[in-house]
Amino acid sequence: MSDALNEQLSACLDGELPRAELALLLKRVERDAEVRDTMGRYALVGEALRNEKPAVASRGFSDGVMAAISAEPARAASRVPAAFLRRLRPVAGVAVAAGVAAIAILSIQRVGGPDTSGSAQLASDTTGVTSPGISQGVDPSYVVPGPNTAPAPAFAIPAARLTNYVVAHSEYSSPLGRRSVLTGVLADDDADPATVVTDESRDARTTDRSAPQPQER
Amino acid sequence: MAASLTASRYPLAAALLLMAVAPCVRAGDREAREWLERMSESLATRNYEGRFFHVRGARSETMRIIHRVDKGKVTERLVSLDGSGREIIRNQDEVICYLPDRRTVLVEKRNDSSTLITTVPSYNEELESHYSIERGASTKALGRRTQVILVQPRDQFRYGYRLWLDHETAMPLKSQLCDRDGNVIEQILFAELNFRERIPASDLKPAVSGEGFAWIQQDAEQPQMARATVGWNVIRLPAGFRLTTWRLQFIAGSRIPVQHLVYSDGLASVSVFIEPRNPQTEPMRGLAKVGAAYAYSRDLDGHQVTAVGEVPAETVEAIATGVTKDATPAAPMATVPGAPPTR
Repeated sequence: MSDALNEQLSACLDGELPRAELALLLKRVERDAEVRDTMGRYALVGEALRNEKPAVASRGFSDGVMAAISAEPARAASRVPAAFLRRLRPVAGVAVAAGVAAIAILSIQRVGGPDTSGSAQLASDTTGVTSPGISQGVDPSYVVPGPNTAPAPAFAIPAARLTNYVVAHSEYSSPLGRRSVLTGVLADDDADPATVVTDESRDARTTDRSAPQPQER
Repeated sequence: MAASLTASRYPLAAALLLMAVAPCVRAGDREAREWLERMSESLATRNYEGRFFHVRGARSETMRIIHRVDKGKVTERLVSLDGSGREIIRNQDEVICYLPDRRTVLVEKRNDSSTLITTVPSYNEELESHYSIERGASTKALGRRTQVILVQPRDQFRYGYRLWLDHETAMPLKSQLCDRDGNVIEQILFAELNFRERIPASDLKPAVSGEGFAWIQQDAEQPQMARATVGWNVIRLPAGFRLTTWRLQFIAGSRIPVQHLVYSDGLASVSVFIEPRNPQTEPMRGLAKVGAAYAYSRDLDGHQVTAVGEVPAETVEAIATGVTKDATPAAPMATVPGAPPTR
């Protein structure tokens, strides 16, 4: 398979492919089983990446990426092209940032609890959920550190509680919004690097605060 | 500062542009809106099943959707085909999320009146004050002729969509959720989509039984209105957002009645959940994210306030921050400004 085609496939998954090229590519995906396979494999590599936890990421995310790729069947591994790996770099960057943020969260939580088990207890108390299946299994990794300006320690919304809210909300979304929200619940995992607001995006949000205030109603 | 200048300049520029090309835009807009109406109808009335890629950043997951409409009643099953085995089945009465990786099943029941609420947007001129709705190119996707429809937000408080609608059926074969600058936040790309005459009930059954899982659901009994008649209000709502629904409900896994207020601009919606906080626990605070949805939590007067929606982070933050307690306890609908939009 040509490098150009590989570039196209990964650009397509990134949503960066120009419309005209996308139309052609989709036609090709539909026609050509090999292209379809490749696309699926890329999705698999994405899946392998997805399973990387931020804690691992902070210890060496790029090693994790390589491990994930070599864990693929040999045939697949040899065929994940350089073009695709090049595109992974920004992801690794985000994940490392996520690792840093995860450390920040742990230290924040320690303010509220005497030790880590204490803070885990705290998180499950906040949910009001007594089911052991939930309170133990939940990794409070939806957590995003609060805005820098907040003097008090920021406490996360526990994952289970957040899912409840999101599902309850979905019934009031428009059909497109609902699909987006529900696929988000399906795709979500406990250690999603993308759930952490990076410094860059937080800066952007801070800047936006100087934007005109929303209308008073 | 730069952001502020851009933000204030943008509506003016948009208004000038609209004025300059008003006659042709209006005609085009109507057709684009008609496309969206057709899409809504297709999504709501057709039987279909298909597989799609759900792509966010560099991550992609394959999912399956089965959508059945039987005597006007919709049942939909969404399944993650990669790894987790998660699935969501929703019908008129409830939404059930099977989360095998967390050994959890989450059941969210709808109650009585909420089934009367339509969440299908009206693609009318009013919506155009917050979004520009235009036709894009006529192109091909999945080997079929599609019409691109661009729904672009006019400010930073909402997301837009780029939709590739099938010429024949108006089904979205591809859709991108975009921010105000056109950056793609996530996209859904159908690899396969089949219309079916009939969909057997067995196709709508979950693949996992949920046996041995923790089932989280709310009590059957609905909370009493009288117990929480304190009105809550949101001041300084982002432009265009209005209260569309108010209800008192139990959230799965909790016995505390939660006030649920829904604010919508006609397309995007934000739920505000307000519940009394256990004084022995620390309040939840700050921003969180699930998929493309953001949530923002704060504590207010012994209550936990959380705003959730498929909108930018600053919108949930602005809405959660604007929540205030009304001084006079009264019927909540009467005390909250901005009547639900009439349809």
